[in-house]
Amino acid sequence: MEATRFAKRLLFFLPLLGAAAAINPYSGASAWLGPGAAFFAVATYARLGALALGRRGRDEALLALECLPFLAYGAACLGAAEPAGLALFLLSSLALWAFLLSLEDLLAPKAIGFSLVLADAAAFALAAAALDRLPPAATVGGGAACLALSRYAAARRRP
Amino acid sequence: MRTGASPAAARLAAPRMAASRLAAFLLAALALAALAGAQEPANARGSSAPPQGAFQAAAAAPRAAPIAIQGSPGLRASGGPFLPYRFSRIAAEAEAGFLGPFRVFGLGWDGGERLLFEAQAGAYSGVVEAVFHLDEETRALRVEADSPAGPLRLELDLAAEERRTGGADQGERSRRERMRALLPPPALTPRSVPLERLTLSEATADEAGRAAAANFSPPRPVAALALLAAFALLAAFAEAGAFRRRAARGEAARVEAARGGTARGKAGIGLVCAASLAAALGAYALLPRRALLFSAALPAAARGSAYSGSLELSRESGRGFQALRYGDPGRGLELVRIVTPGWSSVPLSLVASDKDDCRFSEPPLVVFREGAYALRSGSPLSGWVLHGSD
Repeated sequence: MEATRFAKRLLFFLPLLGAAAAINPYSGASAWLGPGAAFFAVATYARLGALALGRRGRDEALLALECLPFLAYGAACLGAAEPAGLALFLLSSLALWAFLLSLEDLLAPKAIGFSLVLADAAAFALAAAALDRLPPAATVGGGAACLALSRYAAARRRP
Repeated sequence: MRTGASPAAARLAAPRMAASRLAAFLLAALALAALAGAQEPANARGSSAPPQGAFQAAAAAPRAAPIAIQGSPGLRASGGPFLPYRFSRIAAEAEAGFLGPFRVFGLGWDGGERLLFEAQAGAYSGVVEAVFHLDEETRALRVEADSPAGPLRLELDLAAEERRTGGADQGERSRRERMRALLPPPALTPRSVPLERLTLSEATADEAGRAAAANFSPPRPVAALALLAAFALLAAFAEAGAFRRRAARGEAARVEAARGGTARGKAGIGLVCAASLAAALGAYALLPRRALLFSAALPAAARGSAYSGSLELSRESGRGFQALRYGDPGRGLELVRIVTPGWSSVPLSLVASDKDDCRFSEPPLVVFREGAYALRSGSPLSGWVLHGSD
């Protein structure tokens, strides 16, 4: 069983490693794609991975957190090359990501399935567009405020 | 009643007073320095704003027959002649001074527009000199700038200007014809490691360019990828180890740990956060971010015969860039490829001068950075530079 767990987790990371090997700072991909594309790809893949590995709630959030290095690498290759810009992008991404996971937990705590992944992917695409188009202060602040509100609602709902 | 300090006390107090006076003096000096710094122009404090002096110092001698252009009220400019396949200059002057972004756009025949020059004008710069590259696709120029009095704008119709001056003469037409024939080679998959010595025996510039471009290989981010792979392995080992420990402690412990309710569970979450953050920082730190300039000066271009000969690879590094060049740079016909990840850029002086004819795969963006003009491009930029055409 241990070996199966090890293999499953390694298989989960392999596509991310492959994608990281395919892009690099000199590929010129940043001319067509922004760092938001890295967020969309990593977040959607992590959601799919959570579905495949049967993760929900805190476990899903931890799985998402383990994808952070790949997100940082992708964002740096796709335009967020300055340290401050990358830090703000990662903060914004984490805030929006946590908000969307929290919202999902709030609205559909028991739901699981591919249709939910599709809905999440659409939400991630919107978040990615916001990350590429809005100023970082707005995405960090907005994401954090939305996250706080959703956690507050979850706390109120809890018996 | 105490009327004064004793001599012993006065002796003890003297060094303290001296120290406090020294401290007061230092504080006053610091305050003065801060005040002086606040009154200094933003340029002098090392901002990215290009000061007028720096622009003038970087500028070459003005070209013959400059064209005077009147823009929105309070803005005038002069420059030119604006020839395709050349780097041109335009000096803009604002009565209220420039402050903030200064941009030159090229408007194409197809209706599209390209950013050709960008700089941050410092505190009330009076004159800004922009350098940009023109090709035959550019129909008009537009200058956009900010000033304390409001936004400024200027447009120049290059086609109308050329008609007004009687059009291109025979020499200019043949120069354009020659440059039109030089198509930058496409970005093919390069070798993993460039050759130290490149031997060419090609009949045309196109073939020689393809042979040389096969060696324009940017480095792979091996260290960053290795770190990500190590992180993936570590995460997989940690997952297997955590499963073994949970199995040993029983189902109740597993559920409790998953909720993060126990100290062990919380420590595990903290460990995942720390490891992910460290791996993200490490991957970023190991990622190469320098601009790259590849070039190959074709050996026999000046003689007009076949491009045959042996070219040695030389490496040159500067602040934020690395140049890998075959042959003797700055002579004859030279193939260049520029890759500028992030905000990095390659000094313009390493690529071309005012007198060189250049044809790029797309119009490059010229920026003013650290007192000099530099080239930047979102995607890898290829081009031919025909040196010393004048």
